[in-house]
Amino acid sequence: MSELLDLVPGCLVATIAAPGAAVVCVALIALASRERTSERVALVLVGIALAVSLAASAIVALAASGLFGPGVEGEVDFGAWLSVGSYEVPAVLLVDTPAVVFSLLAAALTALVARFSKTYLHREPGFVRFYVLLGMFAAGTQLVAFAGALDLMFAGWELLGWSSALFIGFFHERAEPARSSVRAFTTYRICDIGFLLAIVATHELIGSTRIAALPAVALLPTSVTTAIAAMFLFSALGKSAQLPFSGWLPRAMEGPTPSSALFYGGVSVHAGLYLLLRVWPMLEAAPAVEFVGVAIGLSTAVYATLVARTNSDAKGTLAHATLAQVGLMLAEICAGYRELALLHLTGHALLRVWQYLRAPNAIHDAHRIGHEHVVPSFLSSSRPHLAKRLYAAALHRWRLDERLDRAIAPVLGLARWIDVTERRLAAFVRAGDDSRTNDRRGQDPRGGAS
Amino acid sequence: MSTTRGPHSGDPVEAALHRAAEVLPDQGPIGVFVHHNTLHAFQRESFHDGVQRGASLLSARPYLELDAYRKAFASGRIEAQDLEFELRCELGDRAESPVLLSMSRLEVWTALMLAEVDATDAVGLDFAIAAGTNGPSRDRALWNAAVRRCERGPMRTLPLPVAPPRHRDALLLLGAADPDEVVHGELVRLCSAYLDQGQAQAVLPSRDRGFFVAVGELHRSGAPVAFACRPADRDLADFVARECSAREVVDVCLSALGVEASMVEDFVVATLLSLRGFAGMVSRFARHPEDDRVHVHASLLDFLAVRLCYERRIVERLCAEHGLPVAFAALRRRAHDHALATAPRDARLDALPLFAVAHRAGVEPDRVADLPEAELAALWQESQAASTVTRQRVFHEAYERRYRRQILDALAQLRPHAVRGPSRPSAQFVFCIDEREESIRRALEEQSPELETFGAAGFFGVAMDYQGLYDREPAPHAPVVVIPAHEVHESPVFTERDWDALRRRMRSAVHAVERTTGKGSRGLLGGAGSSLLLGPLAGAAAAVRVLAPRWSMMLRDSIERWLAPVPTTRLVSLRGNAIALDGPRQKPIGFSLDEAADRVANTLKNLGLVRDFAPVVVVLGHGSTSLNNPHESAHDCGACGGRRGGANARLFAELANRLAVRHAVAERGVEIPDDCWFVGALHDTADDSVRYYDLQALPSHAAAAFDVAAAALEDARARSAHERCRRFEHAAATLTPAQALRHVEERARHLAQPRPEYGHCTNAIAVVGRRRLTRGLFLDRRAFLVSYDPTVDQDDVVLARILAAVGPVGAGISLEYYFSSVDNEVFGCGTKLPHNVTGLLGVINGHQGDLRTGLPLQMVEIHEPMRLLMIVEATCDALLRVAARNPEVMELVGNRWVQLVSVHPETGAMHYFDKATSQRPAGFVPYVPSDAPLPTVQTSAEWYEGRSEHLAPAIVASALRTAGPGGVA
Repeated sequence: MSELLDLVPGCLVATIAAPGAAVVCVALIALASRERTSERVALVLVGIALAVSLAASAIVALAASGLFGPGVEGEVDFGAWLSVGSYEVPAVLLVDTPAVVFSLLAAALTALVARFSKTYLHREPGFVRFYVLLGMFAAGTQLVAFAGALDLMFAGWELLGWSSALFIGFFHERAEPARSSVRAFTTYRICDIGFLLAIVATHELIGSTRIAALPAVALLPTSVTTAIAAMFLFSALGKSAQLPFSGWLPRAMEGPTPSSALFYGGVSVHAGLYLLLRVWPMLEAAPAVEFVGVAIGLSTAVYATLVARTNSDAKGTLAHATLAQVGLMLAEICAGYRELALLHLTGHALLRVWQYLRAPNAIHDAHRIGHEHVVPSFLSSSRPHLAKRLYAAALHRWRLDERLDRAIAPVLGLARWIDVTERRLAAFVRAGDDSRTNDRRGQDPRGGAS
Repeated sequence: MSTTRGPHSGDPVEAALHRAAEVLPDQGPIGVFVHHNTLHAFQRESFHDGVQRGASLLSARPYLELDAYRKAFASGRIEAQDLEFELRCELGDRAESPVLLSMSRLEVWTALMLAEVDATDAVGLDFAIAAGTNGPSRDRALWNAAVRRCERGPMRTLPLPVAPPRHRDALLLLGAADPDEVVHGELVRLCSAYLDQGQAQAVLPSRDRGFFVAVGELHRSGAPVAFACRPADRDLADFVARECSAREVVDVCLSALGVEASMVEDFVVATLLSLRGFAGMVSRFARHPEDDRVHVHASLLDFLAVRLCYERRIVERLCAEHGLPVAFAALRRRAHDHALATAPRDARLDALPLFAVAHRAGVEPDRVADLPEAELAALWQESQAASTVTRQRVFHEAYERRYRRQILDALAQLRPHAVRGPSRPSAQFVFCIDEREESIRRALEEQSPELETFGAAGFFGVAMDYQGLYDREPAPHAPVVVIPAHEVHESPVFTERDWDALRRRMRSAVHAVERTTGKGSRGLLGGAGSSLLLGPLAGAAAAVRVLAPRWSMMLRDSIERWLAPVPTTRLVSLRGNAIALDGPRQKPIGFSLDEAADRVANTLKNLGLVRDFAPVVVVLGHGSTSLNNPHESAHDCGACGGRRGGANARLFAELANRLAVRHAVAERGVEIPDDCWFVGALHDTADDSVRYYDLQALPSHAAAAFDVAAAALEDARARSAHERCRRFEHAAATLTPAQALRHVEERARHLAQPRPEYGHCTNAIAVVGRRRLTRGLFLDRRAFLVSYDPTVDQDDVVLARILAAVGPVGAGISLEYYFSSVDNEVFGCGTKLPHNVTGLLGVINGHQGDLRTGLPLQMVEIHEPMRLLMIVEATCDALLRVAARNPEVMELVGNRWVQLVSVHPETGAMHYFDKATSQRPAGFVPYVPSDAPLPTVQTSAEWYEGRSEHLAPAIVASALRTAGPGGVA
């Protein structure tokens, strides 16, 4: 079955490039024509690209499965993506079990949601935008899945973040989606700092950003690996909405339901976990970070479970239920159960996508299967005061967003002060400029005549 | 603002609560959707006054946007003669007097109506001119002249800005942050927890003690409020600890906010309207505790008290931050002065009306530039009179008039072609009056002159609380104005009782598993377990249901039918005259013989079906099945209170088939022949399926006739589905009827389908009269068709009964659609795509927002908002007599919330109930139809094929054949 093996490099490129190319095509068509691009154009181009991406991903998975000859595993090199002096970003893709699983899962769910949205978003003014973002997301996730170097992965990571934020703000004519979108975007950007710093540090210390080269960090002193691993963890926390960054996830429900399903039930919310699976050697060399990861994961799980219990809206409950599982998976990974986490992740993504897609059926279901009788919890009968307080805290989600806002208020204050000062300075300089111009105009003979 | 005072006129807060309860949305939990006039509180006023006042209270649009009307004018939807007619009505005898540039007032107004004169900011105007999308960009010279002239003055007087109704609006005007953002954030979470009907797993503690106490208790336990609202948490805890009443708290807050007694009423109403979805639900539960499954004892006063506690503190904080007074009057004055000082004044904005008029007059730019001051002043006077809302009103009247003319002309044209029915039809079909049944009725009639159809309000005169086999409790199946006096239960037949008991056990076990996994998968460990165990299954289910919606659902159904078929059932419909078996709700179960006979006889008389019975009469209720659709119930039968009418049809047929009932009916003057059999059925308007009831009881003599009827219906439902598909863009234009049926079946079973059907969308007419008035007319599924035979009606008893049911139900549907389409964001609930089901109450947008009431965009997107055009085959006198006896009908007609037309039963002369003008009071005026011939086609398909827009009426010849002597198979 060497033919299958020969196909692998091409397929790897196709998973990423097909959706990317479709996005570019649709965008060019939309820019070139004065009329609104028809639903059909976006649907056909992005649809074909997603199908190609899914097929290619499936072929890679087959090749890697070992069912047909030796299982494919390892790096596929395409030279350098870009190089600046001695620094180069290698265009290298890496095939291993987590990559194949994540890629296939993402490709299948994206294709499914694309089919769903063809009907769901019909006649919606943002239809073409939706499919462009979907293509962008698909290219981003496939790049994240197969990237063999951290800097390459970061490119995909950014595509994913952008498309996520733009989906949250999909209905930008209302204020709330725009606000929520900005909040998610800000969280991503802040946490990306961790990723970037970690990439630079890794490159400096082991001379390469290739994931395959990461085991070399075992030779570094623990303090160094702890610092780098902490940065990776920090960046994963933002993407996967772990404490204290959990506030943006319920707000992300502002987007259309299928995008909520794909991003916050299926793929995007798990991306942080995937990153940790990729940089596992780094975590392994930093037990303190592993411990912190377990602690954060478990606290997020407890937090989200409590919040989910008080939520009375279908999508909000699902968002927090998802968050709880992601917290558990974070703990699993940091405790070293990587295979379990991968299995958990796959099953969870499938389950949640289905539940999100059926979320509008809540009333129908309640009429059909009846209501659950709510029994008072043990706490509410034994410690009613505490139970109330806990309920209120969960209802208001521990006011996480407000606390974060107040925590960064001094930074914002400083920024505002700088802004005001700069403006004053500018005004001062301009005033000087203006008076000089006026002087000159005064000497102008025509000015005198009028 | 004028007020309608309740019984508490002494106390402004009570008066405000009373008034707010009238204006707040009256929609109950969305599981049962009842169409009603969104602005029902204003029905006591004339239509135009009511919509304008209601809309201004809610900051909504009362009519379509001017631009939409202009487009309708450009496309010919409004004709020039309609606009001219309405303008002449508006201007009276002043229409011809000259105003400026030697144009008459009529011409000036026409120019103002048809041109874009509403830009409110100069920057936007400049952009539109630069982009070349409006008048001024095509005639720059004239535009520049108009601007130059306006720069010299006098300026146009602009309407004064409205004084801010609340602190919040004043603060926004003065550049502060929006206090509602924080207050609503708190309230939305608290309200949805408080009102939750069973979606959340944890219940708000102390919920049974009322909203105010429950929130106070939360704060007493130490739970803080959002930082910006502090110390409202301590206030509330303190109030509750001291056992203050909500009313005292409201007074404390109002005085802290400096709201003077004279302003309290309007202030409180505006405050309650600012989160109107949840406030409306609270108010609904307070007035209709039966809607509230969990019995929270809601009170609007409680809601107000909590709201004001939060609002007070954040307003105080914001005022302090910006150095503003908290006292409402003072703050309002500051904001008002600020608004006046910063009101935009720009000659370019003034120049727009001048340009419009000059352009229409076709004068030279020079003449405009030198326009005398008096003429400019005259223009300003006219443009002030022709305000936006006035122009919208005139346009709207013209919009309705054009459609009215089209329909009335068509009816007049059809009259000479009207056919007499056969002496013994081969089958008769009784449908609901619903306009969605118009196409299937037409499809039946096109097949054969031997088939007759009728329309009756879809509860078929049998109002009942119905409990189906697996319903948990009886639910009213009757128009909302009728409170059923009887209960009817569905139970298994004797021989299947054991199977039923077993199936019930299996069913509840399956449901318990579903509930447990549903809840468990949202928990911590259950979530992990179900991810690993159920994840792959869920993935497979998602793939199958999304990729093959119709096939997968049918497979599921047929497996269920094979494994666990639903047992054969019967209705417990009759009880002995003497024995009154009282159910738990103190209502007799089943009807007595007399009650049953009354109902059957009345319904048959309403229909005019008192002779010439066919061997088989199929009675079809209707309902709608769709998935992932919180608004599913809005597609069900309005005459059954937002439920499915199948049970009513089944009950009616069952009663009418009983010999004892038939004897009693005969005593009441309606002789049902022995060889006539009634069959009940349910028509699903989403997938166009038909399900018959109790066929096992069909006597052998009726079998052949039933086969004929069923075959005809089988064909008709496919044709009807085909006609519906012309509106769906995803249905190919080349579908055959059989393919169209498959298409609608797929739609109804598609999880991603936001438009399983278009529901009542495009409804416009109600025809009350014999079918010969409309048989053979293509009415595009826009007409409620109510059977009524004036020749069998004595003393207008039947007419009164029909109008009492059809008037409010039809007007409710039509007005709900009207409002949801003129301003979908305020009166409707916006696009479905981000909707999030909350508390089993309704939908919110995204993660946190107000409950959205009304209809979603996808349900109204092709609607033409018009008042229902009610055409009744009765004399003007009869109509006036009936209306005088029924206050609700009188209100609808007299205040013109419906348009009423009388068709004389013998002569066919038409009279329209017109608005009052300067010459005469409101009343019937003759309508003279035009004699332009109507297009004639053989079949409906010929007329609609390949066209998706609204279609004008046409004569469908195949439905107008007369029955041959041998009859037609």
